[in-house]
Amino acid sequence: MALLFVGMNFGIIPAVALSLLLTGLLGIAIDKTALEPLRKKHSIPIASLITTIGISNIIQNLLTAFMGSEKKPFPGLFDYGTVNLGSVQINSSQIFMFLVSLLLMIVLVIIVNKTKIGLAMRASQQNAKAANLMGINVNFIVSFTFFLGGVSAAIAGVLISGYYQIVYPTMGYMAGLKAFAAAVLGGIGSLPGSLIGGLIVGISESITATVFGSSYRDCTAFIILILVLIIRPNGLFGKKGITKV
Amino acid sequence: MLKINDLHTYYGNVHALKGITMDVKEKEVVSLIGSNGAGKSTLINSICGIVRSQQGSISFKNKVITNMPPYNISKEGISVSPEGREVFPGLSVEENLRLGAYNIKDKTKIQEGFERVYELFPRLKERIKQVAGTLSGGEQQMLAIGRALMSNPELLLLDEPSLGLAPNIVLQIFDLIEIINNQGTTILLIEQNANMALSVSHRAYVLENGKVSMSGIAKDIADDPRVKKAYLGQG
Repeated sequence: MALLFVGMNFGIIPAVALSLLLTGLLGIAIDKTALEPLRKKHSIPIASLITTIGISNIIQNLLTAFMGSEKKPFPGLFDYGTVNLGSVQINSSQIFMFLVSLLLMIVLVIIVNKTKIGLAMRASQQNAKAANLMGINVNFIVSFTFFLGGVSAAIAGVLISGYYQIVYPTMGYMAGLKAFAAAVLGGIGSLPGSLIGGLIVGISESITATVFGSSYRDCTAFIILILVLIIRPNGLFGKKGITKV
Repeated sequence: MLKINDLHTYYGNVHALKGITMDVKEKEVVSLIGSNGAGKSTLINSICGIVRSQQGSISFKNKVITNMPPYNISKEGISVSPEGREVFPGLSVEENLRLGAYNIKDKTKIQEGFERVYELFPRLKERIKQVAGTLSGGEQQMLAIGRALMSNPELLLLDEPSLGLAPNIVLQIFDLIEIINNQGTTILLIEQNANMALSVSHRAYVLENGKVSMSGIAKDIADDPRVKKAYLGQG
């Protein structure tokens, strides 16, 4: 999402399009430079996770070094006032965020479950060696997956920036941690699960803010994360590990 | 068809293949027998490009394929049913088979592949939508062989197809190997079950400590007193 800064002078649409593409390519670059060497050495999965946290720190700090840490304005997207539903007021950009997220999820579900490259993604994840033997270039598939991940993250970044109308280098930090909590709640590896997890985390935050005051808002996601890990570590829709007969 | 010339492969400092020379001719079933650690699977992995060979060459239909990346080997017309079956446990039988034809663009050829596999293995047809991880060992082995056949390969590599299976299932698998061969597919069979392997093969190689210690017509190998003693549990 950081690359949103790029091309602010081109007008908003080309800037957004460019940032989606560049963030996708950044995803590939991160995979090739940092994660592929780990896979080649067959290191444990947690090493990759820690590496990505390190990379995100590097990116945040590079941005701070070159662009400064102060908040910068970002144009509001799709802000057409509010919609009244009875006594409920909904901001039009909130509706837009919801629709874009829903559409993104549907597209991702279709890619993963209905296309040939999606089948190759699932095969590579389950058994990389066998996938290779089937003629799948696993490294290409992993790069493609990172590209998709980068593009999705950039879309999320655009939505958040357009909503709050400011950008700063560390804005993704809290969003990332909360997204992690939502993904664990939904079940890692389940796309619909992460959507529902996100909804539950978001609604819980709003309820907490209303009932206990807004200073307790940010801890909600982490309380949910801790509870999920204690009570149901697989998450709501997570698959139990399939063991070979 | 497949020619291997003085092939050397190392695992780190371990010299696993010490100059293997062998060949497989068109329409043959050739078996490779030997005890644990003799280098059988290393040889298969070298052909598939999973491990790199340091010396020597492998050629298929007069094209050198030494150290070609594994995902390109299948395009050359070589398919493998790997040791331990290696099916995709979370994918359905149908999806597993579809992946076997990953590099085939022609839809009718893919359809023919499905029909051929379902004809050979009616059990798989009954379980099209079942997740592969829930199949029995024998069914998973059928799936692994079926998956390898989906690309209609000219050469089929079978790595330990009888491993861990009940004797009646083993008989069934070996019957199928003969049927597949009669349909025109050349087969290189790696087995610890030397009795069964030799009974369906035309020729055989015996591997010991990374070297070919004996080779010839399968029947002669089966009658050789040294083989009988070491691998067939007789004499």
